[in-house]
Amino acid sequence: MQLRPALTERDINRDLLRPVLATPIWFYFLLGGLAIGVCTAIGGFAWAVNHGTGVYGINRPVMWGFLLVNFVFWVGISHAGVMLSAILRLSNAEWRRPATRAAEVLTIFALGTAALHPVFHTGRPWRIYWSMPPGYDFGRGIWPDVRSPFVWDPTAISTYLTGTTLFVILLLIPDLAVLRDRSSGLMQKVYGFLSMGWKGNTRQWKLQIIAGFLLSALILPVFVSVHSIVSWDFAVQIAVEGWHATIFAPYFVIGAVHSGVAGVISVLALLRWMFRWENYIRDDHFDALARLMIVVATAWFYFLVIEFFLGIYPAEEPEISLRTLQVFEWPFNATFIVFLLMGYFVPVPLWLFRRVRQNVALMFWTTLMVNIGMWLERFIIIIPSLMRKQPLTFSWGSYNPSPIELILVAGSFCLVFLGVLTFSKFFPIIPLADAKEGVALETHVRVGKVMVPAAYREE
Amino acid sequence: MHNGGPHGHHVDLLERSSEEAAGEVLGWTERTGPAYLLVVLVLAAVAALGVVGFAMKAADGGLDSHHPWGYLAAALAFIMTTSLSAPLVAIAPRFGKAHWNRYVSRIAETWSVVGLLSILIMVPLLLTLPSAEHRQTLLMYNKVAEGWPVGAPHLYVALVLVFTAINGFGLLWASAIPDFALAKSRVGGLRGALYSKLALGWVGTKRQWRALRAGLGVLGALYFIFIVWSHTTISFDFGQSLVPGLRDSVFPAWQALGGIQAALATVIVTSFVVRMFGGFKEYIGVNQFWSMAKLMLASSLLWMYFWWSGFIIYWYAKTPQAQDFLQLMWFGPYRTIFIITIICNFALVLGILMWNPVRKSILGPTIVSCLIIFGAFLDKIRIYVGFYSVEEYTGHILQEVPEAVPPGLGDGLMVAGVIGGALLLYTLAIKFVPIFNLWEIREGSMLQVIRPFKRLPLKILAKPE
Amino acid sequence: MAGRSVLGVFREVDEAVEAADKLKENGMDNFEVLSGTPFPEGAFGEKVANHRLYVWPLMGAMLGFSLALLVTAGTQLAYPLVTGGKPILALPAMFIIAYEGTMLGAIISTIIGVIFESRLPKAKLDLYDPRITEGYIGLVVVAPEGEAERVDALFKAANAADVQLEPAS
Repeated sequence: MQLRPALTERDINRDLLRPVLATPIWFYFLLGGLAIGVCTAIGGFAWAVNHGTGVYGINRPVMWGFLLVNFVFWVGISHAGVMLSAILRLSNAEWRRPATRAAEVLTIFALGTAALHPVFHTGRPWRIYWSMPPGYDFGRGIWPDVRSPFVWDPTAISTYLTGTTLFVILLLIPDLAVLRDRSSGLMQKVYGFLSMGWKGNTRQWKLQIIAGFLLSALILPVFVSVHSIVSWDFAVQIAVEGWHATIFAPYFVIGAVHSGVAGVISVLALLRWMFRWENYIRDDHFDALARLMIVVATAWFYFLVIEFFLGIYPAEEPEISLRTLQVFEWPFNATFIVFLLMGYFVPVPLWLFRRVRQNVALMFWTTLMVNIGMWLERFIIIIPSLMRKQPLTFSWGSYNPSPIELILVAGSFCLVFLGVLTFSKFFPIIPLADAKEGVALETHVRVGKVMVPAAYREE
Repeated sequence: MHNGGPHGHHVDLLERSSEEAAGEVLGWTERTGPAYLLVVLVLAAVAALGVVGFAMKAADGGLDSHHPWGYLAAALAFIMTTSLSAPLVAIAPRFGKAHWNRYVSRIAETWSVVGLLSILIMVPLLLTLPSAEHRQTLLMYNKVAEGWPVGAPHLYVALVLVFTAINGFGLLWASAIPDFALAKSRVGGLRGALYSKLALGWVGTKRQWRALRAGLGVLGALYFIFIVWSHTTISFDFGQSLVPGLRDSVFPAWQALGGIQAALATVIVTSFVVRMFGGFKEYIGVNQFWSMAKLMLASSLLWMYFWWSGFIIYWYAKTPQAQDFLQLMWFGPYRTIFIITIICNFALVLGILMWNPVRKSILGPTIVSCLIIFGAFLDKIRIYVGFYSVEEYTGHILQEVPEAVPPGLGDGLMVAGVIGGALLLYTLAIKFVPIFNLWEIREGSMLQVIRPFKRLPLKILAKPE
Repeated sequence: MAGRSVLGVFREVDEAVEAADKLKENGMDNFEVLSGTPFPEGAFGEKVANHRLYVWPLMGAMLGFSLALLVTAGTQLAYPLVTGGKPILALPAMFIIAYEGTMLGAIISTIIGVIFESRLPKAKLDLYDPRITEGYIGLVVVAPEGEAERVDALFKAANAADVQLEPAS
C-alpha cells in the first residue's frame, strides 16, 4: 500500500461525483459514438428479422455461430463482475473498495447484452417467452420442457440479472442520498425519491454492511450456477464431441472468472484515465488484482489441459478428427495459437513482475489481450466442434460469419460500454460509502522504526 | 505481551513474550513422556500389522495382477488427500497475507513427512499396475506401441510422487530454519548438533530473511502445483484409466478439490489434538478454527458442485455406457457408501457450518472435520476399489459393472497400517521440528494491534508489502 | 414517547464523540448517530441496533424453493411428454430450476428485509442536515419533556455547527 494524501469526505464527494455533477463535454461525444454503434446493430437486427435468419452465416451442421460465441463471452464477462465483488467482500479485502460497483455494473450490462443474443440468434423476438415458464402455448396447455437446458438457462440468467440489479440498487441508496444533498431541481427530486429517505443512522449503516456480506454469499452460488448452466447448453449434448465433457461446468466458470476479472481491470484502467481517479484506483489495486489473475489464470489453464487431454486420451476417431481440426488446420490453428498466447502465455508471465502489475497501461493492454484470447476460446469450442459433428449426425461442414453477425457482435460491445458509461453519468461508479469507510478505517502500525499500513477490522 | 505505548498495544493470541513461547514450545518438542512413548509403540504396531497384511496378500499370489490392490490404492489416495494436502493450509494463507494461519502453519506443514510413506506404498502399486498397451492413460495417445512416451504411466507417477515428497520436505525444512537456529543454542547433544546442521548458519540478516520469504513463496507455489498434479495423476493412472471408456474430465479436478477440503479438516483435527493434549490452549484459539471452518464450508460447497457437474452429464446422456458408469461410480454396488460420503462431506457440513456461532467455535469445526475425513476415506474406497475390480481393463467400452469387493483381512490390515504409519511419522516428526512456527508467530504479534477507534476497541491488522 | 427530538450537527468526528459522552453523562444514552461514513458500530458509544434480517433469506428461500418445485412439477404433469428418455418428473432437472428459485427467493426477500429493517422508505427526512453526507456528524436525541433546551445548550457547548429542534407539538 502506498502513502496517499489524506482524503476528507468532501474530497471524496467532489472527486467521485465529478462525472455525475460536472460531466465533461467529451463524455457526450463518446456516448454519441457508442449510440451510433448500437443503432447500427439495431438496424442489422431489423434486417435479420425482416429477411429471416438466413442472413446469418449459420448453416448445417454449424447452427451456432458468432452470436452464440458472443453470448457465452458476455455471460463470462458478467460473471467475474459479481464474483470479484462478492469474494472480495466476503474475504474482507481492503483493496476491493474501488472495484466492487464497477464490477457489478459491468455484470448487469454484460448480462443484459448477453441475454439479447439468443433473441438475435432465433430471429423471432416475439416468441422468446416460449422458453420461460409458463411460456409456450398457454391456451392449449403446452408447457416448456424443464428437462431442457434451454429452459434452465433463461431461468438462471433472469435470476442472476434480477439479483445483481437489486443488489446494486440496494447498495446505491447511501450514495443516492449524497447526490440528493448535492443536486437541485428535478434531479434532486429523483435522487430524493430513489434514496428512500436515507439518513445514515447506525442501524441503516449496519444493515448496509450486513447486506453487502449476506447478498454476496447468496449471489455467489447463483453466479456459479449461471455459467455452469450455460456450459450444460453445450455439454449435455451427446452428438457433439468437443462439448460432451464432465468438466465443462467448472471449466466455463473459471474461464468466465478469468475473462471477467480481466474485463474489470480494463474498465478500472479506463475509469482512472477518464476521470483522473489516481487517488482512488491506485497502483496497488492493480497489483492485487493482477496477483489474483495469476491464480485464476493458472487454475483455468489446468482445467483447459485436463479437458483437452481427457478429450484425446481414448483415441476415438471422431474426437481425434475434431482436435486435429482445432489445433492443426487452417484457420483454427492460427486461432488456437493466438488464443493460447493471449489467454495465458503472454500475460501471465508478465504479471509475475511487480513493475508490470503496477503499470496501469500494461495492465490495461494485458487484460484486453486476455479477453481477446477468451473470445477466441469460445469460438474454438463452439465452431470446430459443430463442424465435426459426428454421432447421430454424420455431417461435416464449414462456417463463415456474415456481415450482419459482425455488426451485431460489434454493436454488443458498444451497448455494454454505453450502458456502463450512462450509469456512471447518473450514479457514482465507485461506491462513495465504501471509499469513505476505507479512509476511516485506514491506519498504521509502528514496527521498530517503520510505519506499516494497516486497517481496523470489525469482526 | 508487547506494549506499543501511544500506538495501542500489540496483541497476539499469546499472553507471553516470544522468549517464553520459544522456551515452552522447544521444551515440549524435546520432552517425551511415557504417554507419548505408548502412542508411538501402538502406532508402530499398527504400521507393522500393515506390513503383515501386505505380505499376506502378496503371498496369495497378489503381485501378479493389479486387481487385489484396490484397497492399497485407496489408502494411498487417502493419505494424499489428507496428510499430503495439509501443507496447503500453510501455503495459501501465506500468499493471501493472512495472520490467523501463523499458529497452525507448522502443524500443517509437518504433515509433509508422510511423503515418505506415499513413496513406499507407491512401489507395489506401480509393480502391479498393468502396462499401458491397449489401455488409456493420460500421457499418451495411441503411441504406446511405438514406445512413446518412455515409461508411461509408471515413470510419471513415480516422478510426480517423489517430487511432491521432496518438495514437501523442502518446504518444511525451509520454514523451520529460523526455528532450528533458535533451538540449536538451547539444546545440546546430538539433537543440538542436528539443529545446528539444519539451521545452515542462519543468523537472520536482512538478506537471509528476504531469501527465506522468496524461497517459501516458490516452494509453496511448487507444492501447490505438485499436489494438484499428484491428485490428477493418481486419480487417473490408478483410477480412471483402469475403466475402459470412462472419460470423466472433472474427476481429477474433483479429487484435487477434495484434497483441499480434507486438508483443512486434517489441520483442524490436528490443531484440536495439539491444543487439547499438547497443552497449547493459549496458542490456538477460536480465530484459527473459525477461519479454517469458513474455508472448509466453501470447499465443501465446491466439492458438491464438482460432483454434480460430472453427474448431470452422465445422467443426461442416457446412453447405455453412461448408465453403466452411473452404476459403477455412484448408484450401483457402492450406493450406500456413496450416500454416506455425500452426507459426511456435504450435507452435514452445510447443515452444521452454515451457522456462524458453530463455525466460530472449537468443537463445531472439529466434529465436522472428523466427518469430512471419514467421508473422504469412504470416497477413496468407493472409487479405487471399484475401479480396480473392473475385470476387462483394455478396449473402449466397459463390458460389465463388477460386484462390490468387500475387504479381506489383508486389506483391512493394510489400510490400518497405512493410516497408522502416517500418524506414526507425524508423531515422530513433531518431537523434532517445533510444532509452532515461532518466527511467524513473533512476526504476527508485531503486526496485530488493538487500539480504540473512538470509543470502540478494535483489532488492527497490518499488511506489509 | 413524550419528548422532543434534537439534532446537533458537528463538523469534526471527535467533537461529536465528546458530545455523545456528555449525553451519556446526562443519562440520555438512546441517541442516534447520523453520518456519511459507515463507522464501526459503537464508535460513538451508541447503543447496538438489533435486527432480524437473518430470518428473511430463510423464509424467502423456502418460499422460492416451494414455488419452483410447484411450477416444475405442475407444468410437467400438465403436459406429460417424454423427452430424452427421462422420467416425467426428472428430479435432477427439477432441482436445477428449484435451486434458482430458492436463490431468487432468498435474494429478493433479503433486499426487502434490509429495506424494512432499515426503516425505509421514509417520506420525510424530519431532522436532517445535508452537510451530514459531506463529513459532518449528526447526533439525534429524544430529549425528555422540557429538557430540549438543555440538550440544545449542551450541543452548543460542545461546539456544534448547528442545532435543530423538533417543532414543539
